[in-house]
Amino acid sequence: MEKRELSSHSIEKRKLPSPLVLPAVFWAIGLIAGKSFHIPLLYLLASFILIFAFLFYRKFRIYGLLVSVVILGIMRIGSFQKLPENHLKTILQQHPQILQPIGGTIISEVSCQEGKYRFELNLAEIAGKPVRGKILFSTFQDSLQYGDQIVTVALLQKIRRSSNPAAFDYEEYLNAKNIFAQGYSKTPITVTGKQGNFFSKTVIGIRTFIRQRIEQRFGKQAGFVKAITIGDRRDIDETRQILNRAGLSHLLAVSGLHVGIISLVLFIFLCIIVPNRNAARIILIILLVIYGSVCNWSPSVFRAVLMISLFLISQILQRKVNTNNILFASFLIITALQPNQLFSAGFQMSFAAVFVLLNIMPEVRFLKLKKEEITALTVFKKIVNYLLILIVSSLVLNIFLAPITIYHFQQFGFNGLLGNLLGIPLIGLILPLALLIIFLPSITFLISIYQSAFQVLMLIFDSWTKLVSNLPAHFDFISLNLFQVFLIFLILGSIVVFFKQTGKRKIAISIGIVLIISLLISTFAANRFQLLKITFFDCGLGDLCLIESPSGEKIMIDTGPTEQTSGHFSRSALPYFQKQGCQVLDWLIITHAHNDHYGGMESVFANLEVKNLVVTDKFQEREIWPDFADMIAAENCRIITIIDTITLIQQPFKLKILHPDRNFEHTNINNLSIVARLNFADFCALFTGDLEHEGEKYLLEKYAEFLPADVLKVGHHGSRTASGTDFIKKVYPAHAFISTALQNRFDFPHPETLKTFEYLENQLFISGRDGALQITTDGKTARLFLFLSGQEYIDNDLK
Amino acid sequence: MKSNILSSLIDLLFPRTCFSCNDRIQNDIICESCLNSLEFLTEVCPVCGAYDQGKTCLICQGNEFQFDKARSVFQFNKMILNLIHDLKYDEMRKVAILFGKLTEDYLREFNPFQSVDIIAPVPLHKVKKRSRGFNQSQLLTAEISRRMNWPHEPNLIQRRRFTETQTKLGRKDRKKNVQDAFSLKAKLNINNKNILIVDDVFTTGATVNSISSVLRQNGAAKVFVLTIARA
Repeated sequence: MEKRELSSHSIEKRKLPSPLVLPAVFWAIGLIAGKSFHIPLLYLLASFILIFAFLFYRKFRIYGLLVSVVILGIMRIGSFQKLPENHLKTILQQHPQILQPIGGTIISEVSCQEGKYRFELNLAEIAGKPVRGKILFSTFQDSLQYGDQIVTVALLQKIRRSSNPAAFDYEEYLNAKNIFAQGYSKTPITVTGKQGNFFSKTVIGIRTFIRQRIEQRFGKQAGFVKAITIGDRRDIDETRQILNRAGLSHLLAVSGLHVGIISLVLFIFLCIIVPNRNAARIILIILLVIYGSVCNWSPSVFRAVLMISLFLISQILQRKVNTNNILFASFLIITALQPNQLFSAGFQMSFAAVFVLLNIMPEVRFLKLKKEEITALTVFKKIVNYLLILIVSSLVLNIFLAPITIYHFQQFGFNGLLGNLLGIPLIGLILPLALLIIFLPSITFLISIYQSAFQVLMLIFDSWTKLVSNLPAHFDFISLNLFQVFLIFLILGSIVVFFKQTGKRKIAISIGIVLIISLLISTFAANRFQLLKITFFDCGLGDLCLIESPSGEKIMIDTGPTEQTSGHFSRSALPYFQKQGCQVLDWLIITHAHNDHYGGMESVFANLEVKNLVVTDKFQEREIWPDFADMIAAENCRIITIIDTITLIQQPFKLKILHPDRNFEHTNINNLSIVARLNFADFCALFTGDLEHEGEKYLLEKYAEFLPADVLKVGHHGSRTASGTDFIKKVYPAHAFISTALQNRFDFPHPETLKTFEYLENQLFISGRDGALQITTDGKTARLFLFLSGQEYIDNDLK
Repeated sequence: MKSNILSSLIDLLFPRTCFSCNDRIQNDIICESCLNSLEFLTEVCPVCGAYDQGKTCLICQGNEFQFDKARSVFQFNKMILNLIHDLKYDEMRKVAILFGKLTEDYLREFNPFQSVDIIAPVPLHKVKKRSRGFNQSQLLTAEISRRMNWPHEPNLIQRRRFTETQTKLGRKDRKKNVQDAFSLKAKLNINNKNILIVDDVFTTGATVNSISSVLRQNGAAKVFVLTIARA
């Protein structure tokens, strides 16, 4: 008896094999290398052949294979995926703007926003010549549909890169989707035929049906329901922010959790009506593929659908699988199809989250309750156990995902620990209920019953998320660079090793300490300012400029135009503040009371802590002032009223307000703009607001010795009413910046002004053309950097 | 060639592994060394089949059981437990094929039931069968009947009421739990027939005992019991 037991117990259960983990890691390395370095094709081919030779030596075969996976990765993402000659991307390199008759097929759903219809167009021809490539098209013409072949005269433009530092890069976003241009129709569009496959048509039909049903049946909550069911997140800006702060933003996207819930509900339903399990599984896979298409294959949906489908296939094949292998298989499949996904935040978070759940969570010791032990618990203890698991999982997940969220969104938090406790079970109820309401036939009384249940759940959900979002464990304006993210992951890794492999504790500790020290050094080094930095943002038609002093003080001159514009503070400059991890603004100077200068103030006050507000007395006499006064009072901000020339800052650089002078009177408030002069060793910059000829003349008479400067923020957006020739002769800047959009109702910059600055040649910058400009100086030399083109100029000859 | 590439791709996604030790294998269900470590249960009590150095055990001396003979292929151990769990809970139907083959070997070697007229599984309740999707005992009987050429009667017995799972109960409660739980379903004449009931695990024998008494009341000549494992 004993002998028998011994013999059978000697068989150990090993971990299930996951042969795809290593190839996936090396593939990712290849993709990253291909993205960061441009490696010529010839070298790659040569090394590929070399490695191929290695494959004949058994000993090196595995290394040879792995290295070849790296090379394949480089080749997949590399820039030498040869585009056909007639590809739109190649054409646009020569002609950035094309106004020609075009033809093509609509290959996406036609969506409507503010009367404008947008869709993806697969180009077939430009001016009669065959062309390939996808563009994003918009028109005011309705009644267009997926599959329509259209002909029109259109303006095609290269997608504009983000012109401001750290701002959302639309070009990169669309390029990742293989879209290289935007198009606008200049003449009515004619539909010449129909093309398109049955599957996409069905999917778009389903999506439209679901969207309409949601709008009919959910009223105010329609935006939210659209987000959690079909991943359409257009109408939920406010909810998004609340959920973000509550650490529950994962509930708002269609994530793996949602796909999991939907699959579970569907599978139970299918098992009832389909007697054969394998048939039910195959039907479920088909339904999931349709659902993934309805959700536009967002990264987390793609991952979840793939993983669940692979899991179902493994059940059909009756093979036990390591979930890690499935995770990395879907990693390989997605990045092989869309290599750029690897660099998207959604993809990274989705995979990192599942990886942590699979590999780190099981190592958390006290959660290692066995199935038998759990079934033996009382109901109360079961609930406690469930809650504990939830809290610990969200803690571990939050810790491991924090570097990613900080890197991409400059924020992280632990509000989710509490938020998930009720949030996840609630979404587990809300989602199936929402689906039920969507797909229920139109029986009014039945629907209304479910609707009221839904309302109740939403009420709980809303108040819960609001409550949690007000908890203090949310941190934003935190910045990390790639190196620091890497270090943090290494530190987390050594912590895991410390707990997992007790034999290697000493090594783990020593490596961990070294890593922590280098992290501290790198953060410390990053925070040390020695240079003066001036950033002129591209805010459209308006002024927005930030000065960062060598000691870390931040001074902002003007806040850009109002909310409705694309250059609004929150889009143009806020990302930079977040990226810098800077939430305090020491000085805010509003030159005068025009809304292209104070338009972003509300957003500035909402997002940053402003210590001193510098305004003229005239501003405070305006009707709009009381609105701001309340806001300012609530923020505990000091108001400094400028009534005369004054030196605002003495050290380490000098900031002198030249204007408006006490003795200067004028009816045009442009002429009462604050004019600031910045002086740092040899470097000097002049900011003139919207000052016009009269003001300039007064300054010439009174403060001529203060006018010469290296850099001039040109007055009044390059209007002919400013920048008088005498004044410019006196200032005689080596570099000038005109802050204006190119096409505007005032036709700024005026040709007279451009003529005045002709002597500057390429040192006259226009925000609408050149994007944001950043000047870095140590007081002896200055470095000018343009964000749009990446151009750099050095000025060694400061005044 | 084409199918070769496809199958090796599938093997990369879903590597074939031994169900017992998770080692990678080429085909089959468990690896050679695991298979070799399995030993048939011998030297058992001639009635209930428990390991007792070949003597009639204490329980059987008290004429506890309604069946004539019970046998188990293996002593219950971790490996057998895992395999049975794979079959029952993870729907690895391949395990039934393995067990069928091993059972055939066992039956051919020891020939404990001379003649069997009907082979029938211990039934699951309708609801449970629906939720599990299959009856693991029925998978076993189908496999054994095919190999041994014994007439298969999957619906001979039915569960009349929903019973709690036996796994959490003690000996006495188990007996009470399954009392009158079964009835004869098929309108089949079992008069003077030798019937073999098959289940996955024999623990106290309460379940098969309850079924045996039903069969006996309906005139069965001999009732045999075969289980994969003996707890």
